Amino acid sequence: MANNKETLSSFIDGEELSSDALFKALDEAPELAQTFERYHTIGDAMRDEVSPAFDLNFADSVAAAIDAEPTIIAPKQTADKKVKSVKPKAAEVIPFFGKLGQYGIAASVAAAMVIGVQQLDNSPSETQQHFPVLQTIPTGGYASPVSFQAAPQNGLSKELKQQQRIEQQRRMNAYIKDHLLQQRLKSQSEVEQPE
Amino acid sequence: MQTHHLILGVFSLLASLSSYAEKTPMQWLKGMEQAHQQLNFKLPLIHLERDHVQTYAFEHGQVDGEEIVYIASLSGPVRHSYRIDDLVTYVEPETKPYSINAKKIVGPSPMKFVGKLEQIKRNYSITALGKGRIAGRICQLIRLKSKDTHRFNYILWLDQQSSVVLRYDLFDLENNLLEQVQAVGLNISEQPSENLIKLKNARRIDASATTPSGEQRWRLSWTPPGYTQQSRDNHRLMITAQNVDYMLLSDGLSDVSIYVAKAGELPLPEKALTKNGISMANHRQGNVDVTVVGRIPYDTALQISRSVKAN
Repeated sequence: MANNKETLSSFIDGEELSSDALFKALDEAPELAQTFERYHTIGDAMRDEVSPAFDLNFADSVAAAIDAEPTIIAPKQTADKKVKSVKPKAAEVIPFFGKLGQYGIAASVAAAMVIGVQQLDNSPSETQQHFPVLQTIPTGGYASPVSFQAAPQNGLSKELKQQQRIEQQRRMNAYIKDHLLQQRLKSQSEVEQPE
Repeated sequence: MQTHHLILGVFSLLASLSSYAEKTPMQWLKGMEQAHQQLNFKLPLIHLERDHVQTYAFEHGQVDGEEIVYIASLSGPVRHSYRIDDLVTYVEPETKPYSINAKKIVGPSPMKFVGKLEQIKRNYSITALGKGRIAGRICQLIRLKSKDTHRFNYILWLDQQSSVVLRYDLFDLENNLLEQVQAVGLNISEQPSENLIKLKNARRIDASATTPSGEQRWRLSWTPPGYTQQSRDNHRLMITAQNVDYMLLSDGLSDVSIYVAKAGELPLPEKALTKNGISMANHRQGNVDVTVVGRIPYDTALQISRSVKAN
């Protein structure tokens, strides 16, 4: 059930999901259908308030909408983050003094960017069985699922145990994500041509 | 005699018409740059990558002498970013809005080519390809073909009337389409939109963002032609919290990140590619791992990774 609600939330948030699975779940559980309706109500509130680009005060209304619906057990992370992290004030320039300042932003952008990575090797069918299909949502804040097609150059990958492969994926993922972030952060120092 | 004059007149008229029709590719690009700096316009657009579609609203305008650009995703979680002159603000779920001193918004944007003409001229041969139609409007196609194999190629579709970029395609060296940004409408107006005017009045905070420049323990013995170093520092990766020495190269349109880190337990695969054209080259040198990441041909990334030398 909890899992179903997460599915619901993802669906409403526009994440890629098989809608078949959702509709089937909805058919089977009437109370889920009610939740579906409530989620949409909240979603509508958010979207209504948010649509003017500049209005950063929408967090209040989101929080209010969530408060007003105590029965909703939205996946915790989502609800909590929205309430806590989006402060109702204008954007702040975060000074990147030292590593930690940058890391602070990195961590937050990270949450929005990468869910994971799929790494294929020479035996795709086997890989697909053992590795979850994951997604990367990269830069510009613009979601774009990405999967890896890593072609190992030597026989090493074949012999790697699954855990080691996952660790490799994690590290590669970290690099890709950091690249996408640095593109943003470093665009400030880019040398511009005179116009 | 009069006929003679008339004929001459007709000829010169024809000549001026044909010279209009045959604007050089560079003139097209200059027109594009001006249009994107001066016009007030709205452009709903679609961003396509393999396995990925997203729609955006794009707006550009001049409000009391300040240039304002606004890009917002139209489906899924609310994300938008805007630029007021040299201050870019990103507003996204899960993170506090923040601003960076920058002259461009990173992401799919028809503004991508503005301010880059010198670099484009240096790195690409620019040719006119003929006409096409996008968003119900006639377009001139301009191809940017890399002069070498160190960057990918673009085709730009410029609105014949206004020179606004209505579409651009990014192709890898085998001419596989990696990315497409395509407008589905163009609305040019005398006045900037209300949205932009409100944006201009949003609270402004002075930006003093600077990154620390790192200890320079590494250098590149080879840089691909056309690329220059934009920035370098030491920082930490998220996820793995690994400390890296970092350098960013750019040729104006493509960015490349170079990482030097303490060698991990296992070397990473030498080659990894994402479906939307990001290449990763990993190269172990003694007790450090060099990783190069960017939307560039893999061979170039590999060559860069091998050219990292200790100072």
